[in-house]
Amino acid sequence: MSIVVKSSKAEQNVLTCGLENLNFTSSQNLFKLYDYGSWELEFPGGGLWETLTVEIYHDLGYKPGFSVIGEIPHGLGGTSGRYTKYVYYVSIGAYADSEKLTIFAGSDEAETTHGYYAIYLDSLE
Amino acid sequence: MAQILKLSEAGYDAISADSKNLILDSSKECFKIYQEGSGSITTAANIDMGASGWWGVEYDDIVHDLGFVPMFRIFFNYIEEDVDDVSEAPMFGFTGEGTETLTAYVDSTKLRIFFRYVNSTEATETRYYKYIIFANKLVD
Repeated sequence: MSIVVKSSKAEQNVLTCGLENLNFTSSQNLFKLYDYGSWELEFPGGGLWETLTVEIYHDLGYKPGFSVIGEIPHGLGGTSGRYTKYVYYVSIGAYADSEKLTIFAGSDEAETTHGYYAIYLDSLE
Repeated sequence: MAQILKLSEAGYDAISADSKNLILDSSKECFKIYQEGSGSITTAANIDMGASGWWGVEYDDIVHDLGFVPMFRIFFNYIEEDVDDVSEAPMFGFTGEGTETLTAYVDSTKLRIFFRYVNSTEATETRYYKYIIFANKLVD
């Protein structure tokens, strides 16, 4: 017999409430954090458009889930201190394979853009 | 009396640690993975953007039985020839022979994954995706 650990939201009966009213249940998988940290891209500027990448290696051996946020480079109309999710959008984005997480961005201005990443133990395969 | 389950990171006291140093705090809602799976969407060939701005559109419906509008995430391969690379939707990209977007919407019965594209080649293109639906309400 398997044992399930549950915790409900306030005012909800943990034994009878639906999944949406549980804060936690051991019967459902969660995203489990494997690695996290920061990244930085330094653009040379000079009016020359350049797309740079940073690679974060992992040793999971499969394509993991991930999240990346970062500043939008000034060369793409961004502002320092404002962060956005790096999805695949022409000039900024992130993708993962079974060895690494690759983060990329482009700019034609001399600037440094930085952000943060999280890699999850949970597979996308 | 409500019981709270806390698990702390190594080196921290679960009873006194700040939330940021807890691996699990059952008093806070977690992202509970409810349904996940994968699939693919294939374009037609020779789809050009005409004067009306028409794009090719293909979609897949992922049915769920949650009865509420759930949170979700979608990952996909953005270059057909390199299926080992996965990025996260929404996506807007250029392939050289066309333009494509991959996005989605969700309601209380399904997640619809859209692939809008212009494909000026004779060949079809396939994008592979992985979806995750959470047992967490997006809309109250």
